[in-house]
Amino acid sequence: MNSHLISFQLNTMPVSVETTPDARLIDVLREHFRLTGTKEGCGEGECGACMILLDDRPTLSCLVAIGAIDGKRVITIEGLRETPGFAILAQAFNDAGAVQCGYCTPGMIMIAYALLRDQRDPDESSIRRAMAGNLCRCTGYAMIVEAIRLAATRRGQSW
Amino acid sequence: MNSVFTANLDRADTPDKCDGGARYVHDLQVAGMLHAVTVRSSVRRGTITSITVPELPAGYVQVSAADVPGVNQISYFKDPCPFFAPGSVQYRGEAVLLLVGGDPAKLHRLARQTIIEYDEIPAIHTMEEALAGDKPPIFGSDNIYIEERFGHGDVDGAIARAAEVFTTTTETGYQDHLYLEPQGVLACPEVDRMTIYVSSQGPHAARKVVAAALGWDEASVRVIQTTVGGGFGGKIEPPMFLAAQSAVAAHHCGKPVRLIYTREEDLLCTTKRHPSRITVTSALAADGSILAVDIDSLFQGGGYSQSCAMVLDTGTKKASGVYHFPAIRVRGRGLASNNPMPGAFRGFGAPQNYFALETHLNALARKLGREPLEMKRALFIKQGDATITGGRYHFATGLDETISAATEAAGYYRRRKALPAGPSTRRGLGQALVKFGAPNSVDSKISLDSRSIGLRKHSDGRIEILSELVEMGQGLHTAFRKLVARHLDLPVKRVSHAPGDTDAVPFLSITGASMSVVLFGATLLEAADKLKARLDEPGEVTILQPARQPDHVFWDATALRGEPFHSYAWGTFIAEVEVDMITYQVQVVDLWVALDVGSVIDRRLVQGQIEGGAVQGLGFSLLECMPRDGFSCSLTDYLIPTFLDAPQVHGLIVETPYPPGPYGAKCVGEPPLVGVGPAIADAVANACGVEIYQLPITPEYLLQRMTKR
Ligand code: FES
Ligand code: FES
Repeated sequence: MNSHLISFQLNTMPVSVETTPDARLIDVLREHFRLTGTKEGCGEGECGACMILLDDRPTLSCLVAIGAIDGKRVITIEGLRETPGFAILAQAFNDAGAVQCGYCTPGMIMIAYALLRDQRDPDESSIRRAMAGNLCRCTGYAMIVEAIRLAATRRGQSW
Repeated sequence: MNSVFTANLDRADTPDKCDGGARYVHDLQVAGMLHAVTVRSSVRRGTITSITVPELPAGYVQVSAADVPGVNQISYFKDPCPFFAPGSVQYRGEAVLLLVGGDPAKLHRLARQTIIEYDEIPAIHTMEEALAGDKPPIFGSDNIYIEERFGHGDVDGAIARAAEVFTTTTETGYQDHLYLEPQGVLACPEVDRMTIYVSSQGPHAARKVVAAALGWDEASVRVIQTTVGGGFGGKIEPPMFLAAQSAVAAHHCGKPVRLIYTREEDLLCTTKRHPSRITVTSALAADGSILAVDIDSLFQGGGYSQSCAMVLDTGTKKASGVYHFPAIRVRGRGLASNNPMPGAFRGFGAPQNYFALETHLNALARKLGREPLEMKRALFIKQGDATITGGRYHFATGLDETISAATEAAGYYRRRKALPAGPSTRRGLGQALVKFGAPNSVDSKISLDSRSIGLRKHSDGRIEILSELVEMGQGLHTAFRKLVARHLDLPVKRVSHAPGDTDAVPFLSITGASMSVVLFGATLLEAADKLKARLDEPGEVTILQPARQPDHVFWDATALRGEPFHSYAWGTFIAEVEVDMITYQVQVVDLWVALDVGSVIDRRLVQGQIEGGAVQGLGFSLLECMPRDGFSCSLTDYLIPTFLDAPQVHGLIVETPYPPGPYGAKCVGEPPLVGVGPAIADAVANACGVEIYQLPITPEYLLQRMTKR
């Protein structure tokens, strides 16, 4: 397949990359832009470790072909970490003990951010339903739920 | 509560893990780096007759057994195991060669086009086939990698005299670790040196393997531990293979080589929990009391023994559970097969054996119409009792306290018989009792002097822990920092943990078998004692403290006599399930896990181990299904618990200090997993009125049990 020039907004910066349109977004982010906070746990849309925001919607970057994002907005954990919302989430993850090996954590924080943007104060079962596509093998999940509850109580007007 | 540690300590690694800054091996890129993709055996067993690799573009090479400058062998195990197939293969997915080059996508394409032809040899698919001897043996003349027997008393006599003999057979299947970070290694050649970046549970073990593969001395190999995205025992064995393979490739190409598994190949070819079939027979007196127990435990190993011997050994030593039977015989055998490769996994043989024994006793109690916990209580191990290997239980057991904690929290006695049933659902409560010995004793004739842990006081007063034990998420480095700070009476901020780097930290041990805190934590405090006397010295002070077995432990590895383990954690598991009587789906509503882990060093970390371990045990018990002689290569087929499957886990901590442990601490990594299976099975049996003899309890299995009635 021929290379194309794909332009999009990455963490608020306009960027472009010369690549075949079927290249996976996750590879472009990790290998080309060296944004390695987006993790690959399965490469088949089943684990959530590669979660990013595409035009504000939580999206699995392992399932997105780069050709499909021309002109769109991508936010990765490296972009999110500049926001006050991230700081509140990270502190809550710390306090709840929600981080063990950490491989699921950036993906969890991305989706938690989107969840708390859409719902001000989700209860436990809404959190569990919203996050059901994100796997964690270490924590057993309860501490992650607790972290999100905690972040919801501390968020103020931050996002 | 006898905790000397009151507050939880924030982990040092959390901020980087949250913001994506933590570096896992897959995140490393170095100049000139090549990628490697593995070409694997497509058959279970055979002799390779030809290998046809498509014409490789410039800059692409293949690397196989013929390119190994040293020995094509991992010598960590009881029996040597090649890291590239040596002209024959023993399981599907075995690595035959690496293709190395610049573009991973191109390499995957070339790997798919590579054709390997075989003279197939009849594969051994089952334990029956392994024992029958009809097919050419994989190992020795009988396919038995290891056989062990323990016990005391006249079991045959008791069975002959028994009023009744009661027998159950249980089976358990594969479980994949499914650490979220797939396996990976980056090998970087330098002039006369090789540096390996690896996600593993033991950098020094990887160094030994790489040095042997290259034919170099160990000092010429440096292994740097990257952040580990989960281990659970699954990053003990496979990383040694990846490290050896990629080091050979990097040496061959003179360039850095990165080898990262896809999830598909990780599921296909890395180690898993050993499937088991265990028969328990008890000899009963006329009043139903147990006179003797006979346990025959079969573990299905793979085409190479790898860690089968270690897993079988520790599992067999644990098989008597929390009981001191009047007479007992335990026979354990690990068998060869050409099925997917098993290995070390959190629990190390205990989940299989506890499922067998607790299920047997729970079924017996139901048959006799007795309250199971009361029936079991008559047989509990007491301090001073003999172990099945002729040693002693030297210290107080916290078993009774765990039973009280769990039964009270669950309302067990009150609610057991009175759970509400819905129009198409039934509820049940079930329980299981476990002990967990750790660490496994090593031969008392062997000195542990070559293994050590260190402490360094820098001239600015910072204290650094020099230990190769790996932080893989469990929180070990946080616990170690707390121990040292407390012992030196310094603020914990002054204590840090050195990175895992074989150039910087001494050889100690693989991180596993729940022994890091209970054994090496004590060594760390001995180092701290020595440093304490020298804290005021100017400049840098380094203490290297050799490990040693505690004074009460004697183990004769030839006769298999003595204390099999140093210390014991004790636990009570209670599960409440709801069974859908139309779909036969089992949902765990609540799980109470009461564990005596000795003194607690950090409550939040202990809770994290309990909750995570219990949910991994739930996956093993209900969801995680891989055909015993088949393959699941995707997360679409192989389901692990999600946010929606995980129940409320109520972790209840009992602290019965173990005097030789650091401030009385025992272990906590593995125990939370090992009792979940039998507790859920008992709950399902109580809900449905049928005995459950298999894990995982799939809807198909339950349907079959219900309709067979
Ligand atoms: S890596 Fe994308 S969902 Fe797992
Ligand atoms: S913390 Fe390890 S996978 Fe979630």
